Amino acid sequence: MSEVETPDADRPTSELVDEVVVRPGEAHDLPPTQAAEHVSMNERRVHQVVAMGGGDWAEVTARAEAEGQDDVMIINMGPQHPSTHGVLRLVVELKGEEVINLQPVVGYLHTGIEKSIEYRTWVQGVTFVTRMDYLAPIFNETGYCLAVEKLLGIEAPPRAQALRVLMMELNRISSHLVWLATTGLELGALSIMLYGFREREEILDILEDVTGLRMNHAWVRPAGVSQDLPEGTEDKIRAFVRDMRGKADEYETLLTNNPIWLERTRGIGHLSLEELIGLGITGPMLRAAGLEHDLRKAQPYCGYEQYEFDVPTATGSDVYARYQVRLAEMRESLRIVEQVLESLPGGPVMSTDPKIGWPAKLALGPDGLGNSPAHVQHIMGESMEALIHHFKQVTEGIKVPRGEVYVPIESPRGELGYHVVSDGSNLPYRVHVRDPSFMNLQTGTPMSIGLLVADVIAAMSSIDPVLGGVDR
Amino acid sequence: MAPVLRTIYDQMPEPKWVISMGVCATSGGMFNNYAIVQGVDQIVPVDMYVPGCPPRPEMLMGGILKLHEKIMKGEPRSKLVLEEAGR
Amino acid sequence: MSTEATENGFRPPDALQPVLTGLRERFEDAILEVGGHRGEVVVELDRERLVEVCTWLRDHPAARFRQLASLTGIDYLKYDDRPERLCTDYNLYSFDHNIRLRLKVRVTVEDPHIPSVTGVWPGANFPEREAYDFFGIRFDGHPNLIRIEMPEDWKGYPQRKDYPLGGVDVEYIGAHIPPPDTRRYKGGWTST
Repeated sequence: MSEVETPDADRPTSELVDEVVVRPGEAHDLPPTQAAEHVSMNERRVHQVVAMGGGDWAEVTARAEAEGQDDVMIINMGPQHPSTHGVLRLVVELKGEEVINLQPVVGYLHTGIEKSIEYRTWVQGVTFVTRMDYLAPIFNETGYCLAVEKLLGIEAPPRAQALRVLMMELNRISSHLVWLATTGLELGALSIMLYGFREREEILDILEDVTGLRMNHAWVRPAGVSQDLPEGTEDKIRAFVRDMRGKADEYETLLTNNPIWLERTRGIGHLSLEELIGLGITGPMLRAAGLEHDLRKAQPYCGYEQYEFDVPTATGSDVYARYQVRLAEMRESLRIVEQVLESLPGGPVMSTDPKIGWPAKLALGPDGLGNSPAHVQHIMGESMEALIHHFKQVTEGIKVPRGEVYVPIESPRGELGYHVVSDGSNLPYRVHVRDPSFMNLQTGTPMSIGLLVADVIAAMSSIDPVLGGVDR
Repeated sequence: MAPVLRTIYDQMPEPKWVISMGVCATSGGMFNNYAIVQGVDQIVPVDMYVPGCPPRPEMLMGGILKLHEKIMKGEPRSKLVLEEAGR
Repeated sequence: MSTEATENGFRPPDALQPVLTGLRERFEDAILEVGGHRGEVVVELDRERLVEVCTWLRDHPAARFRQLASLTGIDYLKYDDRPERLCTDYNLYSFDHNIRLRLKVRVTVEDPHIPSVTGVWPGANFPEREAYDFFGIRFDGHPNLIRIEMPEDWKGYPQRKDYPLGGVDVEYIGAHIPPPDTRRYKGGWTST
């Protein structure tokens, strides 16, 4: 997308292109006094409505005309639309108000992360990977770091693993809150929007206390996490957990038996279990069809086997069932957070191996987060070897042995998998991310055929796509 | 996304102002590759740049308030807008 | 293909033994190599019988790999010296036995055709489009093989190793940041 397409005469345009040029002196159907101002401000302005998206638009219209369906309306719910969860474009073919075909078009948020990582060191890769699924950045980082650790053949220290679980579950709650808020907004429950984001602010405050940023933290690093919990965070988290339980009950009271909510979500977007498995769907969508599959239980990582929690399922496999599953998952996450706080082990949060662990001990100083003064004194005054290690680690980075692994984790949207290939150097060779939203978007078409337009909005939002993950 | 952005900008009626929110919109951010235009001001004229990855809510609100002041004072629009208007 | 064996040669996990035995019995000629790394099992296949193998893996009771977890495109240009540079890596998961298996198919740039597995797992639709978009691997039998992330009229396959990063020089007042592929990272500061 680095080429700016300028309109020129040779580009093929469909019948929907409208070209309006306002020249000096021409008042293009405006009342006289306004026309003069308008013209003087925009003397050379060219207004042009260009059909976006290249080949597929013309194909779709041509196909519809060829099939003789002239009462088919093709609507482009374009990338700029308040209810598309990011820059998702839906090309919808409608007969009246009923959808006969829906094609999602993605790629508007493609940032070339996978290729960029190949030019950065392993630890710098964390900063890229964290910006994919922006509502659940800790999951992105953890998956990547678990894959790097698997290649290295090490495990992070137990305290680091427990902290990762703690942050991941808080992030899961915040991601589901955003889902609840945006879905409620799109279906008309405007107050849920405010409540969801209000609770999310509490979680973002906690995340900011621990990692330094509200989003895109780069906190989880290979072989551990970069900073420990500061003073007072545990009490803050406990207070939040107490509050959140009450708030989750409030949301249930508001929505679960609400007749309007039931009308809008029951029976919408139904997909059978076989279809879901065939499409490779994971996460709450699969659990809402009755299959109790959760990677935290099936193939545990980061010490999840020590914590007691249930995997909520529902049997409707429609939007309402997915809502029930996500709400129940929020409660289960609260349980896990409490258990982690009870059993938080002591010890270092980053591997103490000088060739692997990130060297700088970070601490909060008067001007923000930075190298702790004790560490600076150690490397500058006390140990030449420590200085050399620090320098090499920060500039060159860790060297990961040759090999390929695939590590999946359970993100709020489903299975987030990292396929990491290393050729033995200090730069990754290939990092491919199996993003759950990317695979889950394939359900858009089978779910939406036969629905009304307003139900398409509900169905698409029940997939919970985050376009940063879809497009990477 | 660049042609889409330009279309939306052209479709908006005057008066309009553009806030470039975040460092990826301002200057390409941490991405410098085949997929990213280095700065949205190569596509549309920008009146206020709000950096950050992501910008804090306070920064965005500060940016909007500064834009208000800028408009109240009647400061000249950004250079690109003036060029487009032919002045 | 990376087949770093463990100390005493490669031993796949027990749950996968019946699958590998079954594969070896039925598809002896299609299997090129079996290996693994860090507990994962990778089977490299010949592309001719890919769909047959996948159907067997999906349906046979000892295997039941009903979920295609991931489909990755990889370009092995700088990794090893085989002429088949482009590779598709299929990651399969079985709910019933809780086992994972990986399949690999490698093709050359001159003849990058691989049969599509959308008939076996419909969820391969988007990932195959992505592999085509970024690597140029043509999946024969795919219902709609067009670009998914890049614009439809983009030329070139961006994630191949010989495609440049495309970064531009960025000028700031008082500073100049070169694009990332010209910075001196590879090998570290002690190398040139």
